[in-house]
Amino acid sequence: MCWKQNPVFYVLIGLAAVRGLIYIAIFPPWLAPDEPAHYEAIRLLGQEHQWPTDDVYATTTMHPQMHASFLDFRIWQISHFEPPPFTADNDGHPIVNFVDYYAPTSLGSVVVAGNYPLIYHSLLAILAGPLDQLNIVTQLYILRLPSIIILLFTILAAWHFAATIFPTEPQFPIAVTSFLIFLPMFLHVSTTLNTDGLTTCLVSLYFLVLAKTFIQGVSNLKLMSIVGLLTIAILTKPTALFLVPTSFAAIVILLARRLQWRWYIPFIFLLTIGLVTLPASVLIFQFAEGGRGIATLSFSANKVGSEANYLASQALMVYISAVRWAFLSFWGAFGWAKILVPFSWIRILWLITFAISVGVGLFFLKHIVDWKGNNQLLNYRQKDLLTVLFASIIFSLIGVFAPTIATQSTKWGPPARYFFPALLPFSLYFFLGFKQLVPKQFSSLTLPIWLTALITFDSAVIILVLLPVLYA
Amino acid sequence: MLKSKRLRLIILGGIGAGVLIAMANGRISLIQNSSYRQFFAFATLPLLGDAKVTQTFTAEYPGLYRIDVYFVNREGGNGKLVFRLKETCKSRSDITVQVVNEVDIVDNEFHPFMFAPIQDSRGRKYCIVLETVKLNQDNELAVYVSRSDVYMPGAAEYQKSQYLEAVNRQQPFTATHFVWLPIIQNGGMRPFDIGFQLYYAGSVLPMATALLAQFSAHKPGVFGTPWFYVIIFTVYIVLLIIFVWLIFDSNISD
Repeated sequence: MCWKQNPVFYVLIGLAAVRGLIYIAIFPPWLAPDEPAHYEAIRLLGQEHQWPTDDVYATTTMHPQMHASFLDFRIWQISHFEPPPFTADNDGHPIVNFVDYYAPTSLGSVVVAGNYPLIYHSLLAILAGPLDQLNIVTQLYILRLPSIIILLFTILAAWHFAATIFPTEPQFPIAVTSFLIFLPMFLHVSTTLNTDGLTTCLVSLYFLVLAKTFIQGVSNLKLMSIVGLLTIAILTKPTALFLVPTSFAAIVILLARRLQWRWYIPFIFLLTIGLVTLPASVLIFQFAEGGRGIATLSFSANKVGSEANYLASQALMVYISAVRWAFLSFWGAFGWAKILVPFSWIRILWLITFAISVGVGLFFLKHIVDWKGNNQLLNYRQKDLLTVLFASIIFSLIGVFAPTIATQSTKWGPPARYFFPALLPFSLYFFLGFKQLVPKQFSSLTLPIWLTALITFDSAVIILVLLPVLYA
Repeated sequence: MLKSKRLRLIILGGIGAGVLIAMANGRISLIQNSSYRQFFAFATLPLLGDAKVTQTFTAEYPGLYRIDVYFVNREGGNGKLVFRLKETCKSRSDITVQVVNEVDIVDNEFHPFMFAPIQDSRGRKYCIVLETVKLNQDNELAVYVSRSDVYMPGAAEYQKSQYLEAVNRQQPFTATHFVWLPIIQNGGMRPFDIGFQLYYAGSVLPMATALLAQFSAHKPGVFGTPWFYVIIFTVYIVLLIIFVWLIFDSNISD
């Protein structure tokens, strides 16, 4: 169904915009992943006109109003830190460098040029420049507003992505788009100062063009767009690196179809790509400043990380802990990852996710592998694309967990926002898996149940978790 | 069945009526936590003899009806704790007085002090006063305190036991355990707070008004006006209703 004919499309765009505005408004300043660090880099670029290097951080005092704003909104208390000490001038303004003030949270979070790509910050610095006379809190809220535009582009990409793959089934664009709009963590991360929102948008556009390439045919414009979006996404944040093996997988599948390879040839290629991606991701992390060296072309001869046995029982405990943390942070670890949804909810979500994973497996076997030979749901173009999308989810997960494997520690979380660039294929497969669980006689209730569950969870998070912690 | 417009209108009407009735008769409960356990892992103030601890605070919502205080009570002595709530720490009169047996105070837990709801508590300052009755230097009852000023709208003060000071001048005081007093660190008084939680249960409209004021506090421009939140949440709910209505109205799911 054409989006122009579907009023639900317009309502979803409106919901995305309004929800974006709500999240910007209810979350206090600074209470988002690394938001103070991103603001400081933008401020240095746009207002101090300095490249945010280590030397600049060491010699530039932070904004005089920053400490007071932290106290006004109880940021340290909500995040379970003691307010850090500082030296004040005669007017009571702190005389302290940002890296010394913000150090209690994470030294690795500071945005330093040379080991952090600054595309996002350079863009926002253009807006930050004229704002330097305004109060710091006013500046921050203004700087958050462009994230709504980025969010809307992501939602548009999601709708068209699903509509391209399933052009005659309007439930797919609604389901995929609704998943993004009503996923609280995605809204939270996408409406604050950080690079994840822009990265997710660029990767979503990549997936849209990839879908159009597979479904509607290859063209030079589409290929150039894919290469361009891939490049800019990786330069924005290394969490987009999984697009490299994804693109290789796409080439293999396209060639297999064009050259009419037997099934085991592309299977061997895909398996090889997967087996190479895992150690490559770990090595890139160890030698390239956590992956950021790819964007800044800085590589270290020193290998970061342990020489430990990656398959030891101790290592497996680290991996399990990382998976549990990633799952929690996907569904609800807000602010500085201290505002958590109740663990009882997480257990229910684990059960639901497990059930849907079984559904995904069933879908794969029935319609992609077509083990019974009676698939009538998908044509060959859809099957090829869905195979690539499934591979992209695997590659994204590899990239997200590579730091944990590389360092054999849970220091890197990993936070699920590193996985958000793969939300489009993930949400599509999540819905496909869910559809497998609904009996045929109730198939008309699939979308209403899906939406009811999403809206109920989201409303519960806002009313029972966010508002009580932030305002009570 | 849910495609029937009449049925959907009935459901919506029922929900709307329920909301209006809840707003007219209902209450909203909130907990306000002023402290975090990470701050209080080791620092305690002993309630020995006639020692007294006070903590000022500001109630941010109407309907204050309960205050929880975080205690250490390792040995469970046979004395009594007196909890007073006053308008100021120097007031002669008490809003409420409660006497609790020390044995009823659980170690490393918040102990609740409940009283009749104060409907007009919003924006008012109050003072918590904690004292013990029985003079006993082996008393292990103490309150957890912060190492720095974690609760900005108020502060705690500690008055050591005058009785025990006099006793100790006559004989050496041997501590049964080590107590770290943050207020004398670095040779000077530093602001600190005790660990406490405030509970409110006010009527819907006054609570909602107070909540809107909290949403807009310290925020710039339109984000600093309560009406913005009323409008944005109303628009959101309307869009949500339209969205759900369209989903059930169309043949999308078939």
